[in-house]
Amino acid sequence: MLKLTRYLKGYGLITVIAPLLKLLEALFELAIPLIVRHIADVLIPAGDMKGVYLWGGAMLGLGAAGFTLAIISQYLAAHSSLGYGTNLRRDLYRHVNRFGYAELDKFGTASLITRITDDIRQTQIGVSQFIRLVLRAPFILIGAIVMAIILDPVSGLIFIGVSIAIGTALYFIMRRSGKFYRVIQQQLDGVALLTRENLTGTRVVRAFSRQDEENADFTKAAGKLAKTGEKAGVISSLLNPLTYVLINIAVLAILFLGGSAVNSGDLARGDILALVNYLSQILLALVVFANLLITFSKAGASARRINEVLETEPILRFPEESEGLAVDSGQWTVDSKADEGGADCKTVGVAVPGDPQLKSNTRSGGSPGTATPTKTSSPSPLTPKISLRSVSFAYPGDAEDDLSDISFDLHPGQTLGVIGSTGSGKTTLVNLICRFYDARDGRIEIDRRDIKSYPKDTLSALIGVVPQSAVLFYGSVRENMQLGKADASDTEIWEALRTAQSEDFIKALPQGLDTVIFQGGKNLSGGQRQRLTVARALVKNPEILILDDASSALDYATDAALRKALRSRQFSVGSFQLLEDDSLTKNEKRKTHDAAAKPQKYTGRIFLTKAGSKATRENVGGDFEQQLVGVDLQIDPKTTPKADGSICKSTPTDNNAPHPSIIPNSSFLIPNSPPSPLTVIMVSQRAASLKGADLILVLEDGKCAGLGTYAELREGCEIFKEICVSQEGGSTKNEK
Amino acid sequence: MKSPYKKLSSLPQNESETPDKAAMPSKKVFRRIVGYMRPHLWLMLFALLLTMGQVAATLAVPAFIGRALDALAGEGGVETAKLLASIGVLGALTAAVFVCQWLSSIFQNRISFYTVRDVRIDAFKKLNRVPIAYIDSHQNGDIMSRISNDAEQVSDGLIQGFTQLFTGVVTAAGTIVFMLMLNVPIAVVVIIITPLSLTVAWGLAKITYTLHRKRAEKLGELCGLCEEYLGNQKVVKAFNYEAEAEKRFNVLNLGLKKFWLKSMFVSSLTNPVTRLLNAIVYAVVAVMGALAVIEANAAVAAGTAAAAAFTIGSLSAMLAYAHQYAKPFNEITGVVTELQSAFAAARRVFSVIDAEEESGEAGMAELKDVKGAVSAQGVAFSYSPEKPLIKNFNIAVFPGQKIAIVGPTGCGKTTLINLLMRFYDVQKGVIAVDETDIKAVTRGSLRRNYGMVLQETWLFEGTVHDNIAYGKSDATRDEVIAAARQARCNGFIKRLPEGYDTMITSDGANLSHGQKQLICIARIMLTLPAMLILDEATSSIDTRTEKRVQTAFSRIMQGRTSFIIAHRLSTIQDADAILVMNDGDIIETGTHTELLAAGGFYANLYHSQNLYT
Repeated sequence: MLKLTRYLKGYGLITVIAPLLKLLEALFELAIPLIVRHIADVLIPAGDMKGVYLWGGAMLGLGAAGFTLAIISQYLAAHSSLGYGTNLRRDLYRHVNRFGYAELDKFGTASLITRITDDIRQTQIGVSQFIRLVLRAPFILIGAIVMAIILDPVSGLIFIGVSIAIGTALYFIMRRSGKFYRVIQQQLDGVALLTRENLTGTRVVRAFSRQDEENADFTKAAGKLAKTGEKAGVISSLLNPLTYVLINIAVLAILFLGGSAVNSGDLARGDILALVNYLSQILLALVVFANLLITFSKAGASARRINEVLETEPILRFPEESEGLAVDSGQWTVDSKADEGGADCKTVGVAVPGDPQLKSNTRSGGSPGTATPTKTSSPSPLTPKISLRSVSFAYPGDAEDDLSDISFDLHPGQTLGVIGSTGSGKTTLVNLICRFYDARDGRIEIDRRDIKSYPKDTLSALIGVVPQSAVLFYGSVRENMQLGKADASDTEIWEALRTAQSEDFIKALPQGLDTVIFQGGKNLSGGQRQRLTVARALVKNPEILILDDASSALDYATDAALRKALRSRQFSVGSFQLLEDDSLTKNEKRKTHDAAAKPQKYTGRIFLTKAGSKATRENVGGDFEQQLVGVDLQIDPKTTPKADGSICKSTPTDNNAPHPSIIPNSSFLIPNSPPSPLTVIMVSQRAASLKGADLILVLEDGKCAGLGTYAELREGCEIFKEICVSQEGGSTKNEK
Repeated sequence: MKSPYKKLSSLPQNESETPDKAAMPSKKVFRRIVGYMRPHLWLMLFALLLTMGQVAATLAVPAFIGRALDALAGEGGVETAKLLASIGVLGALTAAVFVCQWLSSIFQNRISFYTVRDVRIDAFKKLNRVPIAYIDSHQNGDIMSRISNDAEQVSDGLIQGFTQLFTGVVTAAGTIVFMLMLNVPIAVVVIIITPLSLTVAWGLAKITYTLHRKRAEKLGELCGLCEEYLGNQKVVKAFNYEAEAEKRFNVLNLGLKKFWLKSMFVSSLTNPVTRLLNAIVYAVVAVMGALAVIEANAAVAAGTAAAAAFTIGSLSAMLAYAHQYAKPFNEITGVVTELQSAFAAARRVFSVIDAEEESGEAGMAELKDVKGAVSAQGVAFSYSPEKPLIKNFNIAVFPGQKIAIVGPTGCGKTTLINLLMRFYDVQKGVIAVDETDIKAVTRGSLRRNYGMVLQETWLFEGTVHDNIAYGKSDATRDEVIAAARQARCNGFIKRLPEGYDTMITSDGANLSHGQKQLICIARIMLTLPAMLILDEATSSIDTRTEKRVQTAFSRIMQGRTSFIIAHRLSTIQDADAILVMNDGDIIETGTHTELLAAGGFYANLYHSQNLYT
């Protein structure tokens, strides 16, 4: 509880002033018995009626003054306790937001929600009661004891004794009931959980006609809660009667001892009257206090639960934003300095030894053509976008590794396919690359930098992820699309929707982007939801797109169209080396050289192919159209000479036109403006969906069972073969 | 600030939820609560009786303290016998108060906890009887808040409030009697002035009530937001949306603060106001009492009275009574505010309990010995009137047939499942099983005859075993294992830390999507109903496992009518009929071969798959 007092920050003055006002009010109240004593001992025996009126007036004055003070302190109390509650709610929510997956798993959502709402409410009530009422009790208590000692030291001792007795009783009762309240809160969590499960699983519950059992479970949980409450009640109900008894014992003692004191003339009757009055003031104060203690033990239990959350530090830590690191991640820099070393430049298509599917292009390592400077002398400018180095991981509590010794390099613009059985670690891999968990062993790098060194924002801006379960939030389509990029324009959104094959159905909605999506996207079909989640990731315009089985709810045609559209995105933002294409006619070649001969500002379409792949009819086969995608791109004239005739003008949109012109032996750099090409990681169940991938990782029980291209794996990887066969339709049923 | 969490008027049904229309008369709410307390009637009466005893004893105490004070006349004038007698009586009274008060609050506490329990249980049970549309159109967080927070407030407020009210009335009545016995004029003044506090309190309470309701609404919205974002925190994280979510949270949080501040301040005003009135009463009693003592003493001195009619002891008792008389009036304001927020909470809980149920099934037949003939005639359905979905749907399925439903996403496939299972009722036309209108049999018996596996998996917090045995809770471990084997999940379950006894956390976080789906399939493998509905049941499962699961499925599908929604057309080629849907209607029907030959939509779809895959 005390640990949470820091949330009263900013209300410090108020929290001091309010009790001070209460103190004054208490002093006024303590004066009353003295006035009554004066009336009883002096004024009445003297028959001083005027004096009685005068002192009666004084009592009224004290009452009015107390009233004013009380109003002010009530306001201050409300103000500061709500300030406290609001701040705490804000901070707790913010803290929970910092939680990684591990912490979320640990607490569970239902429990976190109760803590943010209900538990904070309890402590907030605690604070307000504390300021308003609890401080009054000690003031009155101490004040009354002081008064008693002044009136009669012996009675003062009785006062002290009874206060200690009451204090002890309160302490023990509180401790016992506090324990109960913690249990009650836990059981309340359980009740909330059952409700939540019933709501989310209502279809399954009904499908199995399990309503009665669900009801029975809930009845049991609610019954248990009631039972605990009843038990707690036995203890906490003791508070009031016990304080009453203790106070009355003190009254009796004072009357008894007072008897002889009055008889001997040591005390006057008015003194006894005042003492009894003080005791009843103590009683009243303590009754309030005791009741508040119940509130308090609840608040204490809640405070502990809040602290438990606040004290849980996320295991994952992100470095703060730091200048040097943030910028160069995957940005394309101007190529004019390429000759001097190329450190700032990235060209693609330069093969890296050990990267199997690039091997075929190794001869282009020296980048033929005058345009490309001596890349070989400088550190290889070809940085893998993502590289994993013997990454292993196990979820907490799991005996065996869920992912072990995974390594691969993925270059900008490439696509990695991930395939494997259910539970083979595909999603785990995604979680690690997104840094939702930290790998236990090994290293994950993006742009040659350990992902642990990325500030959260930077990393998150780099990666767009489409999670397995298609979750949308309550709000308009537009708001949902802006989830990862708050200022995304409608144009950007529509473009993403188009890529994600959602343009048509969103357009068909009466309110278009303003259509409200219900909580959890309940008013959309599974496939629609999934496509929207893809669009949502694209709106972010990430450099790496991760699709975690994001097309499971899509029919094949939509899936294929989606992949095609994605691929065009991948290319449109990339820069590529175009290699010798034997299939080009001389005529075409000439045409392109002609074009380059007259340097001018070319606005037209250039054809780009993926990094490192050799664009020939042979290797792209029937998929030629998909491999080569036309893009509108402006090339600054200044760069054209370097390109050495590498730019061609053509009109690819026309299907009847000859296939795109490819410039032999040329590579060129695209200046700054386009970001690095979209690198894609695609987890899929369908081997065929991964045909176009540059690299496929086959997982089996968390281990790498194969890494290579579709064709390579189809030959060399048993598991992959098996997967493919299982998917090739009914006709292959009897093959094995 | 307009909150995005306002209920939309366009949401289906339950517009009665909007606060303006929610006004269930307080009397009715009270009667409902009393109804819930009925089982505890005797206990309640006993508790009230004890309370009366406690009040009586408490009230007698000041009289005897006064008597003891009178025994202390002054130096040398103490009447020891009278003093000791009073002390003895006081001791006995104190003991009586202790016993009565303790017992009665134990009883009240018990009653209140059990009443909440019953309210909660009723609300929960209701959730299992409302149309699915109700649950689809309400925020889970809001319903949860009603069942946990509001129900609690009902007990805190109504029951405790009621007994407090009762105690107050008894105390007030008792004090009036005692005061009148001591001194009529002073008593009359006290009796008249004190209730003034009530007028003020009522006024304040009225304002508080509206504020309380607003506050509870705002809290509900905040709960809703938490439920939505925290419930999907992983998406929030993936999109780095935390800051934005916090912003939204803070908007609601600050809005909540505004109302809460007002309601807290206004309701806390009642205390000082009543204290002020008490101070006035106290001063008046002190002055009038003192004057009365002086007068009485003068009368004794003048010899007109043998003994003083009003002594200092009487004055002390009078002051104590004035205090005690005021207490219920002080408390009543608190009680009223409490009661009112409890009423508001009760309304919210009762609006769940009173939600319209699915149409009654009393006397309806059970659907038994199902052969599996399913037909639909002229079926029309839409979720909202302005967006017609299924317009005229007709099929006739023979027992044991395998029916595949294909079509682009959003064409109404899942809606069809909703209708077959009667999660939603058709708006026009008839769906029949074995030529019985499914509206004419109980929903339970209909649904039990279907085995359903949905794309969206649902697991609850419990062991793997319990999750698999969901449809057959008395299944033995061997049966469960056999089902798991068929669903191809025995392998990974065995590898879990505690095998079949491993606890699955509430959101199934420790399992992958595909694993969850396999467990859901195992459920069906265990129950083996007459008809099957597989809505993308294997979409998250890898194809190798899927292949094996499919084999198991086709084995159990022998002789069972099955409806299959699948994207992989290869898995449905052997279907007896394939329904091709688009925009809610069937556009083509036939077998795979027929449809291919027809060269229509299906053929296109099929070729596109083969082309792209």
